[in-house]
Amino acid sequence: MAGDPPMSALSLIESEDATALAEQVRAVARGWTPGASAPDAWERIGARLGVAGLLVPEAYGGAGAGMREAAAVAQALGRDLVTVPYLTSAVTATTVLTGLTGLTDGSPAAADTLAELVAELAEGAAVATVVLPATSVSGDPAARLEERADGAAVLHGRVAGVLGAGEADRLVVPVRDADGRYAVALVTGSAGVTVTRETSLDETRPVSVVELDAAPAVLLARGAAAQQAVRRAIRAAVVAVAAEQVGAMEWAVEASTAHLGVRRQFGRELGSYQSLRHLVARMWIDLQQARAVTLHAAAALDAADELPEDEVDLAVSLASVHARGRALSCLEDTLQVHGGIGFTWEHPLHRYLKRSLSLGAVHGTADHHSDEVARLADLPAPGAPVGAGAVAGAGASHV
Amino acid sequence: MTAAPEPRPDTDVETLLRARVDALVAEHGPDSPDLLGARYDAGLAFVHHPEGLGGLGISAVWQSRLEELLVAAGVPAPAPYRNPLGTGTAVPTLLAHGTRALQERHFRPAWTAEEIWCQLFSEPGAGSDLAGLATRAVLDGDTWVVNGQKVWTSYAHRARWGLLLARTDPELPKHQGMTMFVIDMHDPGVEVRPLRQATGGQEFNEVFLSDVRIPDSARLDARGRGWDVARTTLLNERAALGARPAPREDGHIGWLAQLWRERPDLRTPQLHGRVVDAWIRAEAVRLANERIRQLAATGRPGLEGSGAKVQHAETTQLVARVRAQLDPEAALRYDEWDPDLAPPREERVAGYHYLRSRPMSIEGGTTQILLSQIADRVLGLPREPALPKETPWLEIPR
Repeated sequence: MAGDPPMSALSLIESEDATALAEQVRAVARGWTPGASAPDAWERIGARLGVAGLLVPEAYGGAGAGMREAAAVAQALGRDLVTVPYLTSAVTATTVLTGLTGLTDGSPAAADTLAELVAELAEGAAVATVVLPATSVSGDPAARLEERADGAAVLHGRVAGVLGAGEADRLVVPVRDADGRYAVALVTGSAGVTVTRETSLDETRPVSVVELDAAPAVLLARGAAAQQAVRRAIRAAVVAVAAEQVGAMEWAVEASTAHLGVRRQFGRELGSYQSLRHLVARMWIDLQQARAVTLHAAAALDAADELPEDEVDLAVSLASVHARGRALSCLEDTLQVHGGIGFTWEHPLHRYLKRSLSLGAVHGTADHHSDEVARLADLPAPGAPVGAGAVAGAGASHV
Repeated sequence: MTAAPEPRPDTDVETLLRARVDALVAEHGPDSPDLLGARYDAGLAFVHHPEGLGGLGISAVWQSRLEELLVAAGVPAPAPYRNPLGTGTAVPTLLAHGTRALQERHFRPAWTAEEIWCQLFSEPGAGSDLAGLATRAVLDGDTWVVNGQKVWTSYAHRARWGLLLARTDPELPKHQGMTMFVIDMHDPGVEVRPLRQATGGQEFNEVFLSDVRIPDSARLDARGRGWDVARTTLLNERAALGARPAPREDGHIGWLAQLWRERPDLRTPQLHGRVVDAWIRAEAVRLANERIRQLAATGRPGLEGSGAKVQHAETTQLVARVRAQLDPEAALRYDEWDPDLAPPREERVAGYHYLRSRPMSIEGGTTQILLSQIADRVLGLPREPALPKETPWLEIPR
């Protein structure tokens, strides 16, 4: 903006693109029930708004946007609890696949298959998910690759707790090959594949069991670089989840404020009682913090090429602990503010609450990420030495 | 007030700042004792002030750029707390509400800290309900005669001047009957008595005002406009935005982290959890404040800053408590109860910092008042039941 002195730190202000996209998403979702979006929701948001291809490079037909934009969309979707496969397909699976392009350890068909799939995902013409337990942080495989003498590749395994499998028509599967090496494969059909939805805490984004019984697949990539691509995708998903939770907090503050302005008891509005006013004011303060830590993590991911890896990981884990923790508290307080009516099935609050609790287990618990913060910030646990794997502490930050 | 001049293009401002900084350093050198005064004279004290009053008439967003240029030129940053109520609150208040004569008399010595300022607002009967204050100013010709008592007055024992909020019209509703003045703390009717705090320190004072005479020329803004003037002052007091980004592990969290790293013998699993949790909270507050700072720097300060003091106070309290409980041997002991013998702040023991952190949620606006303000101004929640605003001050039960 004209008149600004030069800024040298990571920006914690939403980009204009991010803000515009978020507004477009919210406009499309207006009127939908939280947790029960219109049947053509992904067509309208993923395809028509281009959200499906947000993180896909322009060369593959996507928008070539970054995490700041992706997080803003996640936030909008989280605020309105829109039931579309954004996290699993447009963030996690897409980031794995774009991360694998250029790796050469796959089958001869790999490069073409990848390019085709990424383009399809970008258009919103296909939906993918990565077949890992939702609890996975490191992307360690839960399935096995069998490479037959005739050159065919089939997959075996039973993976429970998989997000996004019900909606997916493409399954991206981290596997171990016969030599124990890491690889990523793409299931090529429905033969040998059984997806069974589990009764989930968060029924708006349930988990499934994926069973692979000699399911034909094509090998996309193999080796440490392939695992790195999966880890990086999970890292992006962690930030998207934090952003979703910031959105949930926005809903919580808005809903609580609205309710307190309407509900009357003892001859006056509930919002005129100080304990409730203060409760919601604190929720608002927590929201501002969660927003800042999440913007910081998204900006760090976008600047990952220029920052030390540990600095990026620290920003991501910090956002994960803070945003998820505060969001759950916020939603609990929202229930308190609403009284009994907030606990009915008809009120959308329970869907937000269940999603929040469930997300506490996704891509690393708060404990895991707190331990990561401790390690990266050089705050060793009892018994561990100082200085192991730490980002320099005092004064060091790129904001 | 004259209309603001046409804004200059960025490159011109950058060039101007660099030229002024270079000239300053060339003429005075970075270690000169006259440097602060010279900065004021060169318009490099408060850049948004009009020229001739320590500024260049440019946007305040350039202040942090100026600080960067001065640092780069080797000019030491002036001690930030040398005259906090002078530069932080009195100067902005006088800029908005004072006559040119008052501005010319007071700005430079406030900036150089030759003349220290204090703020005479709170009273024993008027803390959170500041607008209910009772110190009385009665007009006698063109002089005001003031009687009353103020409390929690920082720096009063060292101050040359004060901002005084007094009741001039008790028959009006409370918000309409106050007027703000510049008070000469050397007036014979001013008596300052230190207040001792739980830390042993004496940062605050009681101030007794007995027939203090203030010329009408020292009145800020119109009679009865004192509350509006006070809001300017309090807004500046609470908006304590640094010009520079705060580094990670600054202050209390840095001391806690350092203690943790240096003392593996103190570590337990429970304390580790508390330390990491405190670190995360401190980082979250740092990033939230950095976002506020960035938003303000783009010229669009919004409501995001409203929670800044609440979160700063509570996080500091949390961190100070963990640090004070980390070392059992240290927890039994104190460094020095006599404030005249106490070491500098950064060297004080954890017990001192724990104690000093407790009033952070009270001073400068209690957490309860600030939360209510967020409820009112940010969220638009229904107001709490209260006496009608038009109630004359004289009729309010005290």
